[in-house]
Amino acid sequence: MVTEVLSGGIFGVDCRPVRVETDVSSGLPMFEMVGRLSAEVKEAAKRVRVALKNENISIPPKRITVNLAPADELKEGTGFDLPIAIGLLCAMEILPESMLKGTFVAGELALDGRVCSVRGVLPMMLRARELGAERCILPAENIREASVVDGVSVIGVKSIGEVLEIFGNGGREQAVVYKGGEMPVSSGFDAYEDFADISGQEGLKRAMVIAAAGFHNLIMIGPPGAGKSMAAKRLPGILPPMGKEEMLEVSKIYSAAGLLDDKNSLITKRPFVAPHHTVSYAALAGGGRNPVPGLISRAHKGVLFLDEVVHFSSQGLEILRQPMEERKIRIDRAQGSCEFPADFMLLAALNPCPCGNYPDSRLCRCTEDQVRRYLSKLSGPLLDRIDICVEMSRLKIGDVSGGAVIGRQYTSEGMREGVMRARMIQENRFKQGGISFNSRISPGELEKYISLGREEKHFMEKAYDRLHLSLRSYHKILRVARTIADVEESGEVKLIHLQEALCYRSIEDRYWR
Amino acid sequence: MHGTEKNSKTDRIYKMWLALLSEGLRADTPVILSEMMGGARAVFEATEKKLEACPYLTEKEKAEIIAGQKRGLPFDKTENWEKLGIGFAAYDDEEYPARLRTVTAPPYALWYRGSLPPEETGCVGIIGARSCSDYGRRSAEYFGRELAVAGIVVISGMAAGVDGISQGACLRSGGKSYGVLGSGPDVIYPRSNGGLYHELIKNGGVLSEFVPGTPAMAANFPRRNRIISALSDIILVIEARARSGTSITVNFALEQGRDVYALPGRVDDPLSAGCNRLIKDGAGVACCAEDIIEELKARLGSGRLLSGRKEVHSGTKFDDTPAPTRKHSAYGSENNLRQKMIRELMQDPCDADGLLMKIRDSGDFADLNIQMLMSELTGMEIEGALACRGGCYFVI
Repeated sequence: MVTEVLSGGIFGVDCRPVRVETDVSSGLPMFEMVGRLSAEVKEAAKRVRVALKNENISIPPKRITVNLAPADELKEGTGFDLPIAIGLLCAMEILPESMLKGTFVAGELALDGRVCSVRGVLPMMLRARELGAERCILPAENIREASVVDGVSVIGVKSIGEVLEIFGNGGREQAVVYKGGEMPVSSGFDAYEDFADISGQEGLKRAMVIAAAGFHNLIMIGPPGAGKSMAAKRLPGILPPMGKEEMLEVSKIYSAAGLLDDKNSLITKRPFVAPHHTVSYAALAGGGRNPVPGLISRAHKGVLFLDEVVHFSSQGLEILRQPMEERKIRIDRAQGSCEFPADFMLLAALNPCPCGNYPDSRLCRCTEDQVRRYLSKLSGPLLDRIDICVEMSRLKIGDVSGGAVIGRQYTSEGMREGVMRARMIQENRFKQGGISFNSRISPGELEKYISLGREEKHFMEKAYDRLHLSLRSYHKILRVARTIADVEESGEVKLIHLQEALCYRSIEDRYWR
Repeated sequence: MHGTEKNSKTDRIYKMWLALLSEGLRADTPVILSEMMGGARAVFEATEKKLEACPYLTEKEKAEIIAGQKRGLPFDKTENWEKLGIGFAAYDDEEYPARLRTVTAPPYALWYRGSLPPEETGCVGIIGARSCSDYGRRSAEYFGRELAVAGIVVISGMAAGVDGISQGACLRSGGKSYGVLGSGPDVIYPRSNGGLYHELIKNGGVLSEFVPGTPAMAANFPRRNRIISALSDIILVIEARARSGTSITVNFALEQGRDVYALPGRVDDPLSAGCNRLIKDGAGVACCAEDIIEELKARLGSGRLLSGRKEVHSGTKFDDTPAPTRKHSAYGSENNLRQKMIRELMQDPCDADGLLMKIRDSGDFADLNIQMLMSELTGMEIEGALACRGGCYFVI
């Protein structure tokens, strides 16, 4: 008799469906597994045999063949133990075959029969729903993660024994059934520190609002102690909250990377990833024989913060170029290729020169050439992709003590309001557009979303000539101006918005003439 | 026998031979040698015995000369340089600058592209810090421009900062300028002044005592400074720290009997410390270009020196009507904010945040916010009233 159990393996951030077919027939006693299996999947036979024995089920001395179909794809991971065991139990008629209808199964077995957690439950659930499954049998430890997906009920099991209890002859078939679709509530913004802690630096705070509102890449240039890292840490606190689809998308990545646990079953806050500058390029991009998502994918829909960006290896920085353009990264390995989403907002910080004090001639003795060489570690193509550039200076002591009040009017809460206003406006604008932020407007669609009046057009022509802008930076300025207008709740992009946007234009136009 | 034309041409190769040899000799040896022996050719043909008899040659130098004699005349090298358009003037040549001949330890020969500074025109050497402030940049531009308009030649070192800025401004205003290099005349250093280098060759020249192909070496720069000061009638120091390469040039200038002028600066600005010190020690105060031009007139007598122009321009005064106010009288009273911004930035260039605090501190414009200020700044930048460098805005 042949049974068929629906399961799946993780490749990249997606789950590929796998049918576990089990046949028990007369012949020489053996336990055979076929279907292009990696070592850990082949070992499943031994784990299943011992686990069943320890649940007091002896495997009959018959010829048992397990096939993982489709047979041409490499199967990896430990999630096939439980489907094999259940398939075998059904084939042995210990469990009714009817239970397999519309059921997706995944889980690892310990020798004593316990069911252990697996990684990638979220993409599995999404795939199961797509395949029309009604319920999933999963390790109990993965329940919270799995219950995020609605439309499919989840049965969490702790051991093979529990499976027998629930589905066995005369079993109760109810146990812990989660209806699914449970959304953990976002924990709010209290967790983040407040921008009010930074005195002065209004220019930076304003730029942060705009960057957060339009998801623009931002670069901060300033001397040590100006508050770059402080501001970066506070940026997540003003980012617009994620929508449900976005949460699922991000959580899928974390699930595939095995980073979700009982406490964090769903990523509800925009990720903030801040690698140290010694990070290897593989860690940034992702990789491995069976590719796992890298840091840039973990920053998907969130912020990738590179502090002291010129100290990152140039190889690492150049890796960012393609993902910043295409919002995803493709990992090609001999085993096959997979794509990880990487739609992040780049936040970078650097000093203006090797000593950090340029252009303050009292402290800085770097030559112009040194400054140029230092900044040129950031390649042109990378700078091309950064919309907003803020230069900061160190506060004078008088500003800190007496003028601290000035900075206080910018609190995270006030800033968040501006961001949310702009967010709503953008949501309406891009209803049919397939994008969600101004920074993602393609050059071809600029005309459609950003129309300038006569005066504004004239001004931009003048600015284009005067400041020797490139066409690319011209486009960047338009996008940023659109976001500024949104923050100010102005339907049209006005002169004042364009002028402010020009203020944030890239350093390449200022330093590299 | 031989025509004088041919004679001078064959002489030239001997002079070049001696000039090439000078790398291994003490700085003043080639000049003394050629004077004592009666020309470079005599040195080349001098026997070992004759060299032994020279009391001022060290053993090492003697060996060097003998080795040079064995190597022979540098025909292949010089041919190549001629093709590149590199000129050559030895100490005893007619085109060798007279100003240079009279100072102590003059270089035996100059290699140059373009031309050598004219004898009859007044020359002002403008020198200063490589990394200068906006004040230095502005001033270097101003003096370069005004001196050019007055028909005065600007001499400098084609370095980054004050040197290059003043020379560039001079050339743009139709003047002539000469760059004295610390490398061979065919080596562009710093690379960022490549454009200026070619402009100088077109309207003036670049010259050096170093053999073509010599890379820019730190040790060479103090040496070339003595040529800058020697070629100038007046040395103008734009911006200098208390201890800097500029002071080397100033010392040479004083030794050589040249006048030194310095641009006064704020007393708490380290970039002006050197200049203020010079003024304290008795240097001339350069408040405007006229100060320099008048001095030059008095020094060299009548308008003869300012040749090439029919009329002597005295240049506009630097400090009477600051350029921005002139440019922005258009703002009038209806744009108080812009006027206020100009006033504040004239006093002290700063970034947008700093400017915001200053304006707020003054009590006016209570409802001014950063975004309004930033758009005003950009507007003014595009109109050409302001410039921005490293986030710092300043009036131009």
